[in-house]
Amino acid sequence: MMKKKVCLLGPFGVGKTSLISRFVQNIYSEKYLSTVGVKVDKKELSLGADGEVSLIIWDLEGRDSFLSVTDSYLRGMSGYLLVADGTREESLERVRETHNLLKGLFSEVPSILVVNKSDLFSDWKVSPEDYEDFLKAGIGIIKTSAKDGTGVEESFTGIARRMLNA
Amino acid sequence: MPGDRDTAEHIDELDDQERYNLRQLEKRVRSSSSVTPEAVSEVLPKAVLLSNGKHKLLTQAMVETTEGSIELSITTDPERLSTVLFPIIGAVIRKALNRLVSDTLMRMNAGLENTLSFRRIAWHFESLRTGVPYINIVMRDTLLYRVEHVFLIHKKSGILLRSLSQPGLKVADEDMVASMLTAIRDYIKDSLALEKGEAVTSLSAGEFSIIVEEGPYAVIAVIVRGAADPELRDILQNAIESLHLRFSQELSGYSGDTDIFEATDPYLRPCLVGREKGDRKKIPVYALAFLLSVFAVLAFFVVRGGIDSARRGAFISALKREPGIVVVESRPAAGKTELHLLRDPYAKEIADVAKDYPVRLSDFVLDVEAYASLDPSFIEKRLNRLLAPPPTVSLAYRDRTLYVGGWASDDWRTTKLPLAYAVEGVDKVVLDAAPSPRSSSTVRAVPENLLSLAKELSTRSVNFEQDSSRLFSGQSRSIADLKTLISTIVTKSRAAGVEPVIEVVGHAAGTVQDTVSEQLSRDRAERIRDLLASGSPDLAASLTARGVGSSQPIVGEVTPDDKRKNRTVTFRVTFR
Ligand SMILES: Nc1nc2c(ncn2[C@@H]2O[C@H](COP(=O)(O)OP(=O)(O)OP(=O)(O)O)[C@@H](O)[C@H]2O)c(=O)[nH]1
Ligand SMILES: [Mg+2]
Repeated sequence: MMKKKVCLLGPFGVGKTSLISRFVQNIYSEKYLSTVGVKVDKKELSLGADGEVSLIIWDLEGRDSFLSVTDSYLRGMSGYLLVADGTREESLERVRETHNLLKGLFSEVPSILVVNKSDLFSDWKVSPEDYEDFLKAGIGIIKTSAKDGTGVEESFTGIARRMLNA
Repeated sequence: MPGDRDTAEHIDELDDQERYNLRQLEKRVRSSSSVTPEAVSEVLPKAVLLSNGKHKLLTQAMVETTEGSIELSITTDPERLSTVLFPIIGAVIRKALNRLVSDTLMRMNAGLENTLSFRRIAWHFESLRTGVPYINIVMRDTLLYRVEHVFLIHKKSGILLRSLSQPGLKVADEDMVASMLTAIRDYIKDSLALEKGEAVTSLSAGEFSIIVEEGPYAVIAVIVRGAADPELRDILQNAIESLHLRFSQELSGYSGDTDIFEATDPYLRPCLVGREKGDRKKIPVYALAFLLSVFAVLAFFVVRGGIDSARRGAFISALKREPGIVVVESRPAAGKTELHLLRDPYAKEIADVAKDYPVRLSDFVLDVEAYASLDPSFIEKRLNRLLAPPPTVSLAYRDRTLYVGGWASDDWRTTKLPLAYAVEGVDKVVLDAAPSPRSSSTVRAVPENLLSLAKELSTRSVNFEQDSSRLFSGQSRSIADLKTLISTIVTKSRAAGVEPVIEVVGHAAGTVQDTVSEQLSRDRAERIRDLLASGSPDLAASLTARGVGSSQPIVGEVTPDDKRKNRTVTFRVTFR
């Protein structure tokens, strides 16, 4: 069985932990328990012709930047999801900074931009033009909702496929 | 002879000293019985070797002499011999002592188990009183330890490459344990700014400790119950070194495949050591076991009941959330849950909802009644089913109104369309909702045969190779067929006084939207449009191409076959 480490990165409260628990346990909670340090989860996926993979999912605490301590959490990852919150414009800006920082260090490592909370679409402060630059940079984009499950499975299978084919 | 002459000449050339030596030599050769010490010293070592190879006579002869020499050496200078022998003597003595101590310990333990039964009873009592398992107390009191699990972990990513456990033991989420351990070690190392080589090598919690031995690419971590002795470090060091030697390539080039590390078992198994004498089965704990099992059975029912009702609750809330399903009533009935539901025929099957939850449908008594949901998506589905619009017609339902746009036969307009009013939730039908701003009139009549040709075209597709706009081979016939079909549509449309617009729509497999898939789908559409238009300028005017990426898949992607179906172009006909 292939095992791949994937990290979820993004500012606090964007829904990293919620996306993982929706994906792994199919559970969602309104309660916000901010992650401290890191929490690891695992899920096995069957990707048809691409085979099977066991995703070792690292849920990192929300950080605006990745410079010091957390760096070592990123070591050895095969892919990462950049998570932003569609209702918070600044979260996309933070994610963009993170991406600019990481693309040098992890140039070969695939990533996907996940814009979360699509169930609150009417409150969204970001529009497709705001993340066009990611598309141009070859980063996949997906709108998700940890709350109703939209796009969650697809985000993880998407990054898994990219990791296997990287 | 020239040789004799040479010798004679040479003898004449010798000086007195040399002539003397020659004579001495002559004498010695003649009387070979007299052997000088010098001569013996040259052959003696060889002679001893020869003798050792043949028989033990020499060894026997040497015993007394050797003993005498050692004795002499010790009495004259004891320091000298002890210095020479120290390195080996140290190891020999340690080995012997270890052996002695561990044998004694074992005998003591056996003795404890067999004779001091009051002590065992005391342990049982303590176990019952404190809730600490019996074996833990015994181990604590007898200072034994045991390696229960051994993990081989990829150092950089924290991914678990292989694990072994003592028989009957298993770590629930070993992948997570391995990764968390790596995260914790990294965290400590980073936050204390430790130097290279100063890594965290052990952590402990209660009576368990985790001991880590690091190599350049992988670490071995063992979970130990009790207090480990220093020998364990040696064992781990040994294992990690041999692993790096034997698997150097696999470890340094690790890219996710863990199966190859099954071959590390022979290196990891020796790490599952312990200083434990006897095993748990030998300890007569029947009474305790009985008590425990009674307790466990009770606990099982209580806990399972709790878990069960939580699971059922989660399933029922899922039903409540599901569009087109209404939970009218739910109540417990004889161990089961009675559910009274209303379900729209277009809603998800109850069994499909249950699939995502750890519940059995047999735990429910289901009473399902059909009803028509007023959810717009269901109304739209019902309308589509009832009106069966031709592919040239688009239906949209909004605010209790049905908007109809496109092209349809007279027959459809007069017989089918009025049925819309029969659908609950439709108050109004608006013709020509103008999905395309060009159309100016209402739904216009198009000859029935043209519509069926358009319908026929909408069922056609062309398939492509993965990540490419190259056609799957063996489709040239169907391309030719397509061309014929399209030119028939174009000719017949023009004859009927309408202008057809044939859209070639490219698709790409995959679920994540990105520029790559959009570009690919566009390339595919354009490739087919060009193929169809080549050599037929009258067709070219009617053909357009666009790509929708992976946003409108033909089928949901589960199997490789689904992906193949989504690497395609499809066709859509409208009339102007
Ligand atoms: N409406 C809505 N709320 C969400 C969604 N995802 C997460 N939330 C809520 O947002 C809050 C934060 O979610 P978390 O998953 O804990 O966020 P996080 O990114 O892990 O936060 P940190 O661990 O602090 O970095 C919680 O109250 C969630 O219930 C979503 O898709 N829709
Ligand atoms: Mg979190």
